Amino acid sequence: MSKQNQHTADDTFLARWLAGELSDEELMQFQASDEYKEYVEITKVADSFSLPEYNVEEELSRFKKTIDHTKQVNAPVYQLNRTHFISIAAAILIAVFTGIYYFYLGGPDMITFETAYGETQSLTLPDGSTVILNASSSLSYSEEEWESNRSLNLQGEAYFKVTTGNKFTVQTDLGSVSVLGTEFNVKSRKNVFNAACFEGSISVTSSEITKLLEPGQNIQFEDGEIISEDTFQNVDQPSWMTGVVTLTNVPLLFALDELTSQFGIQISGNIPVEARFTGSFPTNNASSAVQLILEPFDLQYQFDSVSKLLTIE
Amino acid sequence: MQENVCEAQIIEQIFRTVAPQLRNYLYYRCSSIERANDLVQDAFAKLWEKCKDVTPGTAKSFLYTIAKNMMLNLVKKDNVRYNFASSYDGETLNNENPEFNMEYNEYKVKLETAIAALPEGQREVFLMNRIDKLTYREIAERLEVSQKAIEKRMHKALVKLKDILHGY
Repeated sequence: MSKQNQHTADDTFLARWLAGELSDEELMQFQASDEYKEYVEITKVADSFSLPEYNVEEELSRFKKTIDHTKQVNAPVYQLNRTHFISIAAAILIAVFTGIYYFYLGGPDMITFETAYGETQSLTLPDGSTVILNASSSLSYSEEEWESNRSLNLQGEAYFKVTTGNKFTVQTDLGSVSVLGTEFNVKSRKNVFNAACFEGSISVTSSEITKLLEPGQNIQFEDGEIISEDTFQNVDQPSWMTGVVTLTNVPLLFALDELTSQFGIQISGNIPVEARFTGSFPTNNASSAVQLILEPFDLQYQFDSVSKLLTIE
Repeated sequence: MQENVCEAQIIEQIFRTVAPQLRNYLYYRCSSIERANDLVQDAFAKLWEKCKDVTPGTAKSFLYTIAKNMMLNLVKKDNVRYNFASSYDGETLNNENPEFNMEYNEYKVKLETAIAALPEGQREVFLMNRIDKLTYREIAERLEVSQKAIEKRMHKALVKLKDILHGY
């Protein structure tokens, strides 16, 4: 160990070698060294190693038994939502078997529907109006007040077909949409609020600005300001309902957030704040969605479709 | 957006994506498949218990942290010993010449012993990289240390393995 080469002096040299990150010159020097063969042998044999396969399904059902058991022991303890909803046993069963969540807020009066990522749900409201809830969204309303006040709270995105009647309002953190009877889409995620009118007319309000939308009109607010007013033709429902997410002039950050909503992808790395995205991606293929969003940008990224981890360089 | 992991469907999804590699990680630590499988169950039970404080985005590092802590609590009485399956097992090897067979098997046992002799930190990084094919960055995220630290451990692991094998 008297003569030290670079590969012993540099304390990450061998790690870089394995990752294929050495320069040609470094690699040539290393290959000429005495130890090179030994290192190749070690990694070659280690690479042939494997572990007995992990039986995910079996282990998962074992875990589910633990969940069921703890549920029986202290049934009402789990608070299933951050706004301190208290679940009922039936809700847990529904959650386990169908993935549809149904909670009561504060009393038996508030009804909430939630979708997980990659999931949409159709619902019918007490007045016969129908709602299709997009992925990673929640919708709640008061059953008691519904008769006198057709008002709903929405987080995320949903499409509404409203039966004629008194005023129907969808409240979101970023703005609200009011109608008498019509078809429209509302989206409120992060800092982007978007409303599109498909039938009748709707009144859209976000931070003091109110706009009236006719069929075929679309409006988008970002941080409370209008950033686009478009028209669309020959479209009778939002594209997400047919499995395509369409985004127009949104921050890249927002587009990536849609990947989390639709596929549960976790994203890390540096995302350029100023980058903006316009385009569409399918909701049934995570890898191509990632590609379609990131391709236009000069970004290095790695996507592992198994762990659903997206790393942007 | 989900803020925590208190929903059965979400935790199941996390289980499917995280559990297999978490099991392997635990195996590298304790060298018993059965125990590693049990510890995965314990880690997820803990996650379920604390579900209100954990978001889907932090669930993975939460699980690895729990796993790490569980390993600290286990009494390190017996030395670890590994016996890996090998892609050279079975047909491919039998068709080769028997000498290679013997040599390979001998070398495999030596390497397994050498791996067992590595300090834990180096061993887990070496195996996560070679067996689970995780990148240094992915390992760094799971163990919550810098990528540079992972690369150093990897380098040291290789040097150490070479030195040990040289001694035979």
